[in-house]
Amino acid sequence: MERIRRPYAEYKKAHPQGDLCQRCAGIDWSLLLPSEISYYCEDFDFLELFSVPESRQELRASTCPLCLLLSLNQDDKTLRLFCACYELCHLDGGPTIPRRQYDWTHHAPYLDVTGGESRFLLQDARANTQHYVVRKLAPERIDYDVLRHWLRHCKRHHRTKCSPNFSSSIPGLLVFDCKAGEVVAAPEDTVFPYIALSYVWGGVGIAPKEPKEFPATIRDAITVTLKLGYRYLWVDQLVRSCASDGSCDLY
Amino acid sequence: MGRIYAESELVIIAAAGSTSHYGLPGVSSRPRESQRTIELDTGVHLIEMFDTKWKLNHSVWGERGWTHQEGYLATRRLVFTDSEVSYSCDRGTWQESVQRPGIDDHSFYMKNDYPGFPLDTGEQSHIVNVLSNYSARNLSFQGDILNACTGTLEKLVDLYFWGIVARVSASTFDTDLSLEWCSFPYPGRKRTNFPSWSWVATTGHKLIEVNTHKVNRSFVAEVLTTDGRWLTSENQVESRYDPLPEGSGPTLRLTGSFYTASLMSSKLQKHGEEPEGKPLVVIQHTGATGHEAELVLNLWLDTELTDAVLPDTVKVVPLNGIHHGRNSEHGFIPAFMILQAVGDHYRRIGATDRYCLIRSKKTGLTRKIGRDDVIPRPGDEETIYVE
Repeated sequence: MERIRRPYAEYKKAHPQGDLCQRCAGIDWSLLLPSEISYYCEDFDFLELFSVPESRQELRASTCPLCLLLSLNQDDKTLRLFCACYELCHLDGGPTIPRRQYDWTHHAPYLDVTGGESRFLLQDARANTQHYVVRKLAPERIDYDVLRHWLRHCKRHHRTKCSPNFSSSIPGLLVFDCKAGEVVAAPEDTVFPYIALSYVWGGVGIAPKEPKEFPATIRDAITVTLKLGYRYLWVDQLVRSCASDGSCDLY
Repeated sequence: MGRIYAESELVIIAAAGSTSHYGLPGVSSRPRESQRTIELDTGVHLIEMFDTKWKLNHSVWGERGWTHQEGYLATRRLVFTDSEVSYSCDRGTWQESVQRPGIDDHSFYMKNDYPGFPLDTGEQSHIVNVLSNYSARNLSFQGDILNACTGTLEKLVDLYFWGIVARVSASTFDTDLSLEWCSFPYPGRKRTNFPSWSWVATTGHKLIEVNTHKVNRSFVAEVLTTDGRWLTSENQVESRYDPLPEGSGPTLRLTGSFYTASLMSSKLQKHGEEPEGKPLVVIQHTGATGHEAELVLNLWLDTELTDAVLPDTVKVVPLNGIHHGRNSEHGFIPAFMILQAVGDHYRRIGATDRYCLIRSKKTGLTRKIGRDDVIPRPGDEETIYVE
């Protein structure tokens, strides 16, 4: 453990403008990176880094960015480093693979400063690194390639396990045709791939007839359906609106 | 309705916001929250990784009753939260922000341990978690409690009566009512037209055990069939979940030996232990040496009761593995189901936890039940009916 500590002067020398406080800069963080950490702790449940005796208010008043982060979790008086590799499971091996083989490249060390809401991973941001785990997402844009990749991979490799069970077609099933923008009857004699939406209504409203009047969640689900390469979406509100004018079944 | 989700290619789960006007974050106008990052050192970043399970547990979607089986019956799920998109199939979970070549190439997944989604393993603890998670959810119409989880129960277990598991899978011989559950941490409100002995009969979160072993039971449990016969779980092949007609009377018949106990609402002070406001179940007991003592147990009420309606005496049904001999575990004994007399039959009012104290009548001193303490004998064999 002592090997990962360093004098504050060393930090200040390397980072004259660095804003970590003396305590938080006292750890040589680069030694805890995934590529290095296996030399220091080959097989660990957690590493105790340092104690955090301050109150939440005191931490919040700090100018040190790590102290500010620590202020999120008032209960924990010790900062620990965990390994996220144990969260992984192997498709064929089940959850009983030996620890050493848990591999998120090597290890995925993280700090739990929010009490479970999220983890903070120590990430190697040096050039040409092979060890990154979490990527920074664009908050306003979903990478649909990633979503399509998941679906493709699952359909190809988990055929028996994850494929929906078409026992027989559902009589009278209505779906929303996202291309044509209207409710249509599902054919009863062929496999008819559709996506279903699970959501919360949140208060009773009048089921809209026109796509542009649909609630935002339904409009967005239509966008996702098309982006994933599908055409039909099942939403209770839409097919019920059809039922309300008496021309369709409940489905 | 369940079939529509079970047979779809993919279910989009909108786990952000509390109404359908919120949208799916990241798709059109509403952005996701951005990940917090700190640069700790040159080339050393601390970056936030969101926890999908936490987000689901804290979403309005995850608090609603009907959405449970929509997510549970799906085989592939695309989950939209305020932080990112994740994918959960029956094998595991992927997250939009977590991308590592090492995982994809070696078929690694993140474990899916959200109790609203099925697990690959089929462990008994999974059933417990799924039912407990569902029990805490809200329904606009309380009468939907069974209808909204019929699909889940059908997928989860082989045989059940009003939500009480009787057989986990078709390949097991263990078939009996798994009657051990309690309202935790708070009593719920009564739901009408459900058997009092099932967890569906009251609102709020439940701790539900699944134990269908018949071996250690000191009673035979029979359930009323639709055509008016009393049959053991073994002899009933069809699950039953339909709500009962108003005032339909007893639905469970128990034949065996039970205890009679008194209820105490006063707080029992004991050194080093925190007194609790819960009523206590007190079973009179004459020990092996003729020494008179009382077994004192915490009663977890199914619904809130005022002292005025608390009965003086209750019928106590040992749920699992009471041996009339030496106790097996220090401080603990198996749980009891507590019944109140209603006319000529009984109604369940709660259950005890496994924590047990012994109070000496002579000295008034209280201690934890020991490993070698003798468990009192129950009364003579009788048949009782529970509504």
